Amino acid sequence: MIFRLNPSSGVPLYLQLMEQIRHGIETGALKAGDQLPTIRGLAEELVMNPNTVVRAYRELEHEGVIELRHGSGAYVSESVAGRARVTRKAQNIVQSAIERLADLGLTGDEIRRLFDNEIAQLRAGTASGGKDE
Amino acid sequence: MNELVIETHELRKSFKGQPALAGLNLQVPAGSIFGFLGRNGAGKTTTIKTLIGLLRPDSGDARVFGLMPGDSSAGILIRRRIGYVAEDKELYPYMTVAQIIRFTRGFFPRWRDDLEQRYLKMFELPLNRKIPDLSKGTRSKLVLLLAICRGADLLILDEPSDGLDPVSVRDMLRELVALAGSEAITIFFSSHQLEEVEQIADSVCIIDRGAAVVAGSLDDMKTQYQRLRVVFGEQLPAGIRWGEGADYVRQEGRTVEILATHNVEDILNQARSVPGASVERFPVTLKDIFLETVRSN
Amino acid sequence: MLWYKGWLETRFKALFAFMYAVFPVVFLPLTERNLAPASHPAMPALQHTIGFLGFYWAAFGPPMMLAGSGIKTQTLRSQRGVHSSMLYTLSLPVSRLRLFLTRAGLGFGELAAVLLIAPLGILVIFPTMRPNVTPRDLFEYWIAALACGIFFCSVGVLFSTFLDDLTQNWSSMAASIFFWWALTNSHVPAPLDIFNVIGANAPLFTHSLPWAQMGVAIAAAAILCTAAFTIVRAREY
Repeated sequence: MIFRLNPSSGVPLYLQLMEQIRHGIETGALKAGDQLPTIRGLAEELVMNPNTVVRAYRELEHEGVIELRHGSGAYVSESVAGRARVTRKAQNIVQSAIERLADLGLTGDEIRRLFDNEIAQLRAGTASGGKDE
Repeated sequence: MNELVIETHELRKSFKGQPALAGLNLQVPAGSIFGFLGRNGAGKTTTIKTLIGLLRPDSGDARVFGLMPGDSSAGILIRRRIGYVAEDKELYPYMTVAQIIRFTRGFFPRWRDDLEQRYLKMFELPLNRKIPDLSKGTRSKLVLLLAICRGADLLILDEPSDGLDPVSVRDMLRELVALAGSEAITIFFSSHQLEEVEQIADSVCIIDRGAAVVAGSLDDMKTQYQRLRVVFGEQLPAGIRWGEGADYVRQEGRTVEILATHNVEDILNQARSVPGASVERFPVTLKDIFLETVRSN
Repeated sequence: MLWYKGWLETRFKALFAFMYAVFPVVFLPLTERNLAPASHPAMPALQHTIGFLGFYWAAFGPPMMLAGSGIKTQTLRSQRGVHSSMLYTLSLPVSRLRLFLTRAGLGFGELAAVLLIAPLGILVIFPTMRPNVTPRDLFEYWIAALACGIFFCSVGVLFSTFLDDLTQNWSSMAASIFFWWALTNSHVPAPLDIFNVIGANAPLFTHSLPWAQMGVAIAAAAILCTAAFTIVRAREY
């Protein structure tokens, strides 16, 4: 898959790379067990500091998203396969819910506030009544 | 890697009474790609010359590989392990490309024939052309070859992309990055092209008027620093203290620009507490850091 | 590799020096002039001419050879600020002493080669001398001229550490003329009279090596070079 990083965006490059790798996994471009580019190879291809690639890979390993196998490289974790499916399903749910709320005449800010409220209550352990689908 | 390849402590140097370095503290970790930034006349070239041993500091310490540079045996040991590209990229006018390669190679038993062949081809260097007949860009590529092929542990590059077209700049950056990935090498370079530094450096130091104003990991700076813009409805209440972390504050009329290096939330709260004030926050780029820290200093 | 670099740097100077040295050997016999000019009151005409030739080769020669770019004894002098090719050299893993010695050594070596013209030239210009000199005399003349030449070269080396190229050349030539005038017109103790031994009292006539004068010339050269090196070592770029 193709990564595009913007050194001048203000977001540290290692974070951008991590985000793009995660995104690749979520959209299915990177599947469980796929091998990621080597640190040297990716650094050369993107013309970025190898230490930055190392940092991104290490953080992702820490998060359990990828595995660094000594001597053979970096691989997408097996456990993310399920995660990607769930994420895609969730994306569909959110998309249809927002469409329906918009049809009811709610603005983006109102919808966002609704979601924020529900999430806060979810965290607090209470539900506010009916379930969403 | 905790080892410091370059270390200076309170380095001072004056020329004819004018201070060029005013207590410079510099720490370059081994294996890093280190960007050394500053305006013209800030002291970058003076620092670099001191590290090579061309200048002696008036006071303070400078160490490369733990040794003191100069015209001593330690200094020679240092120079055996360094590749240097000077700002002026001038070489001997009576030599051809092939001759200067042959000449330089004689001093470095660890000369990399493989890299020499690679760069001769990549940079399309005409072996039998005399150096004064080369274009500026070609000369820049030649000095880069001469520095890299030594098998050095440390590259000290003063404006290496000067004179190079954008394609050549990308090639050069890619080669530096490839080197950093495959060899145990530290790259210390100064440049006016902030985008280049931002692309490949993991640590930076900004020098102004002979002293370091900002130094550290670039990623950490981008994570921790924030740019805040506060616009006041009426006149700014006099004597407002932004508190710790608001290290660079600049006011223009009713707008205050703050570069906060830490404690961002407290500063934000203080800004929001002023009635009629609107606050925006932006992520910082290297250019933001550079302009704010050099201007205010 | 420093000798290689030095040679590339100075080979045209060496060629020029060679032509400078050969010039009187070619020119003088071609002229119809009487090669025994009006007598100097103090010495026979032949020795006077040879004295002048000695000056031409060993005293005036070195500065002339350094004419033009003068890089041969420019040693480590920096011009108009700093010339960056000097930065390149100084960033190499060589000591300033080695740089200085190589430069000076190469200069003296080229001088020695060029001065071979001197004894051979004498024989060509003055056929009358041929029966009177032996190969050993020629060799000794070469050595004496070399000692003298090294002294004047060293004057140039010292000047080049604080003068720019052009000024250094003129100053060295002026210094040569000054020494010649001073030494031939005033009464100095014999050991100091180095011109004497390439002129009137050349080994071609005395059939012996002028040890005292050579010693003085070499010692003075050593002092000048040491001074030059001290300046060079302390210099900043």
